[in-house]
Amino acid sequence: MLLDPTFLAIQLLNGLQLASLLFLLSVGLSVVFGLMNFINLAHGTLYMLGAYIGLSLVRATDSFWLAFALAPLAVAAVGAVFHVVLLRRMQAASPMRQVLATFGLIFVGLDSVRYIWGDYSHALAAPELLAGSVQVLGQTYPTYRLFVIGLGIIVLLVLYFGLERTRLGAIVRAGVDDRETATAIGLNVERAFFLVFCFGCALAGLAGVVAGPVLSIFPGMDISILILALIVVVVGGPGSLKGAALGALLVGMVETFGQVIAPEYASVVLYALMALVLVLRPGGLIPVSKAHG
Amino acid sequence: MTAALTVEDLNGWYDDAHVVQGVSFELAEGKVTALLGRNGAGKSTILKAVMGLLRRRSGKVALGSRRIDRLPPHRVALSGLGYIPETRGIFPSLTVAENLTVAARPAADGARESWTLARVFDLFPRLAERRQVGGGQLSGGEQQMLAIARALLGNGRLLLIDEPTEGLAPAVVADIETVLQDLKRSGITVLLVEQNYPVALRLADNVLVLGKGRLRWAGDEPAFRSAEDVRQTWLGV
Ligand SMILES: Nc1ncnc2c1ncn2[C@@H]1O[C@H](COP(=O)(O)OP(=O)(O)OP(=O)(O)O)[C@@H](O)[C@H]1O
Ligand SMILES: [Mg+2]
Repeated sequence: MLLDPTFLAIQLLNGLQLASLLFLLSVGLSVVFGLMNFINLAHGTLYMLGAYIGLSLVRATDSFWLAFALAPLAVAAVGAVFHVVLLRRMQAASPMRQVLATFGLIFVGLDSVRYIWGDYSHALAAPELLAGSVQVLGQTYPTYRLFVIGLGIIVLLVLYFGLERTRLGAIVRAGVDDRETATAIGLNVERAFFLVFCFGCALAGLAGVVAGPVLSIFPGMDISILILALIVVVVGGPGSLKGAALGALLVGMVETFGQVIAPEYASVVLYALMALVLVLRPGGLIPVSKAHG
Repeated sequence: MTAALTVEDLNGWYDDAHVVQGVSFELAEGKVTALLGRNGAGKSTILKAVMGLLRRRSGKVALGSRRIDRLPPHRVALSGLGYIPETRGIFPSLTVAENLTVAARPAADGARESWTLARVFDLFPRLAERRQVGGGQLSGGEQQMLAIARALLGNGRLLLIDEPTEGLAPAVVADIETVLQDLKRSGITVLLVEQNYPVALRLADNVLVLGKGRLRWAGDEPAFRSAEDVRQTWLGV
């Protein structure tokens, strides 16, 4: 079975698809952790919120694409409020207090979602355009999953060029290099980081909507993926875009292949990977001080 | 005539260490003022306090007649102060060109000829050659030139320069001094912290002497040359 090329190709695609979702989710988590020194355990809650808001938008408008466009904006707005109300005040707090506060928010999120949308799972249909399937080495494969892979690649490229080629990107890189000097030459680093934070929240929301047709939507969908996303951030290196991409790829593949080859050991392998990286390269595979972006 | 910069009863702390203690001075428009003092006297801290970079400080700072002591650092810079930190503060993940363009702003008052990338490259041909190189790959002298060029592109009314010749080879020190002489002739107001006293005194119109966090002497450069007791007590030269 393992050497069957069709099987391998399908699992490879599944791995890429999970990696793509993990990447969308990890960017924001990584940025807050790496650039703002804030451990935001509630990042997964934003992902879940994206899925539910997307669900409601699809029901109200009958359009997946409208939900695809609007849910991330709604989640970014929630993120902005979160930044003003909590993150700014708690930036100087000890990591333990940050963890406790955002851990509490996970439960607030869970109960809110249960209260508004009910304590059961929902399914979101893939948009008509992508509802079909394609042939991969003689096997059918859902077109929508290929779309998720493509989306991850597009977002990676957009972020990369945004960071390397735009003024906002240059301000962010300068702020990461030397925040004091950056502000002292007139750059509003705080605003730039805030925008990046909101963008990271929007991507978490996007991951939520996009995950809808692949995974089911239920209270608690945030927890299992949050753990994977945290591993991505630790493995890739907090604050680094390339690190988030590489970490997502590794974790997506290990998780996918682990689940089909030896499901009982899949998470063991994942934690072993994380432990190995932490021992050999405590800053992650691509630490932010060495490779920005 | 109002001073270009007025500092009144400035205090600055690092945690509980009261490093700048009630310092007051004025910078004359279009003049170079040297701020001298021994290691650890608090010179860099005064510049940081003026830029708003200290977590804890008090006192009044005014640019012309405008109070700037309540502004966050980036607003202080935008109000017209160019800052060249002792560490130079070059961004390693930005190219030389990006280090410059990220800081570039048009002059607030259209009257003066403003600094452009082209003018800055005329002043520092070496930077033009190295424009696509990463900021982390520059020599010490090149970093200093880049830090000066970057501050000029901010098109402020005033430059705060912290030890521009520190750690540089004599030939490079001479280059930097030439550039600073050019800037002086262009009529920009400068507060210069410099431990190389011969260089500082060739550039300075006025001198401030700082000792243990307090201002110990202020006067013009000829007066400073004859104030031997001040030099001996507070500078050890
Ligand atoms: N970041 C900091 N945290 C705590 N104390 C500091 C910090 N920076 C400087 N100090 C202390 O504050 C005092 C003044 O330092 P400052 O850097 O202003 O001196 P300076 O006159 O610029 O000296 P130098 O000529 O060595 O640059 C010194 O005692 C120094 O040890
Ligand atoms: Mg100093």
